[in-house]
Amino acid sequence: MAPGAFSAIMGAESFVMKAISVAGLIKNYGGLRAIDGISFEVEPGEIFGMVGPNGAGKTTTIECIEGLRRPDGGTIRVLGLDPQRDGYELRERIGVQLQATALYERIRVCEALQLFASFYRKRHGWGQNWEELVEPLGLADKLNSYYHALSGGQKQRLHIALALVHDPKIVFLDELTTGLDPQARRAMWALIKKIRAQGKTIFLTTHYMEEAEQLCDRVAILDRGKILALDSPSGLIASLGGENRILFTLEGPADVDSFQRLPHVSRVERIDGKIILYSSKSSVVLLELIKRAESNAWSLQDLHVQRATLEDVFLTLTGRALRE
Amino acid sequence: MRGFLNLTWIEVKLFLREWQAVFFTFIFLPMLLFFFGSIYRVSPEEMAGGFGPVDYMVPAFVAIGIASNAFFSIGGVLTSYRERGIFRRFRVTPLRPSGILGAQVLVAYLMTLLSALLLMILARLFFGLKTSGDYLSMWAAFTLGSLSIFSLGFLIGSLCKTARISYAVNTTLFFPMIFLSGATFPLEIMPESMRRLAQLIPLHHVVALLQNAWLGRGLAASRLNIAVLGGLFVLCAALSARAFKWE
Repeated sequence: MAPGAFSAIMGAESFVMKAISVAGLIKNYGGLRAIDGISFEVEPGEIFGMVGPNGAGKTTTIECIEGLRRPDGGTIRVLGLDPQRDGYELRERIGVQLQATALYERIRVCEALQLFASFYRKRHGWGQNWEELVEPLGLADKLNSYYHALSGGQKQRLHIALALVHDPKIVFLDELTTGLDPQARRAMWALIKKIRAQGKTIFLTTHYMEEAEQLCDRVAILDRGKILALDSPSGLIASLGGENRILFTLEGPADVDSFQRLPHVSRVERIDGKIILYSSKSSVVLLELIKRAESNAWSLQDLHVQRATLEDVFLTLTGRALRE
Repeated sequence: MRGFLNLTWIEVKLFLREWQAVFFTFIFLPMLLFFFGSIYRVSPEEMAGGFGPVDYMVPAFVAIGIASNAFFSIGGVLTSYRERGIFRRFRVTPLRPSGILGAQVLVAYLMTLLSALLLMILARLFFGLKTSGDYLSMWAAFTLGSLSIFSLGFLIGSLCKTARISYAVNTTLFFPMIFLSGATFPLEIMPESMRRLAQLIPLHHVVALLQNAWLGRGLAASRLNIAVLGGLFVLCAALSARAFKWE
């Protein structure tokens, strides 16, 4: 065989193992079907998000993948392993932050790190020196603090640290930023991007569309146990004809119908003197609008464009807002 | 194994940081000893077999230590760790279930053993404690008594849904048990009906077993106690295996 042939075969795309592959996953609770035959794959090194309202089945899905729950149908492979059959082997390789989990009240941060590190075969070079792990998490000065003395955000970051002590290949984050203030949430996003930059795959669930949009390479929108759409955030917004909004206020009585006749404007709304134009080609509309404003001597106030968001995508897909 | 040992060590530290556990295990029993030891000042010669009140009292108090750790450590901890999701968090690590639960039982056993040794040393120093059993029998009796009452605590911890319920159930069982089983007041001062009732309380059999071993009465004297406690252990272990849930 030619020297290149073997590596050509092994290098073929079909041989690259998926980080996670789920096919036809079904999970029932009593008579209720919580997960209704969902399938998707997660590529190594990506941030994959599962979004949807509370009760959509996000936590059930993530816990089936982690091996905490036994599926009623379908197959799951994580790094090529079956979470039910090869559970312990799998747990050596994944790091998990559970939704709504707690720790001993009277354990110190450094003791918790030490304890969790001892559960794994792989001995990372932390030794007693945790600064390298906790510095980026902002816990360097908290190593000797008790768990109960930490703030909500610090507890969450400690749970991330505990998910990272054994240098896992995949990190699972379930509703990581729920209950955090906006500033802490943004800091958390930067942190997750940093973790991905170390070559880890990240699977997260959230019910904040903004979070999915800012953070994820690809997003699966889950509702009532089914995946409604799966793509990159921008792809999702574009594929659904996600329209941008052009907002402004106009002095004096304005003829709303004249805006409707602008090319590429699909819809016009008027709310409390504020005019909103919907368009998938907002820059073209914007230029035309400014031209007409000049020739008609309109005075446009507070003119700005709002991008379509995943919230709009969800609204389009389900006919209802995400948080009702 | 490394994970199990680390978990056990952390649980020891957490035990010692919990004032209630420390009080019941290391302070309450010596208090009982000094209180009752000062009341019953009978010289050994006046009692049968040359043993004084303290020689009966110490194994009975050791049984109280067993009960307090069975209910408040094992039972309470099991419910509260489940309620707070600590077990769930361990379940997504490679730590085995036997390691997670084994650590809890081992810590309770070690703490109870320490409290028994402390009590015996104090009783020896201040009240001239005498034992005539061999140490191996005493240890075996202590271990059987611990495991059987621990299994009862484990079952209650498995059945109770919240730490509040668990605390209420454990308190309700613990105090009548230590007062009516002969662990606190000797059965000899109680009426016949109470003595018969005591036979139905598992802790009474621990008290009897430990006193027999401490006073060197031989295995034959404890046959009934051993059978009852062995049966209790098997029953509770089997029921716990069905009732126990991680979440």
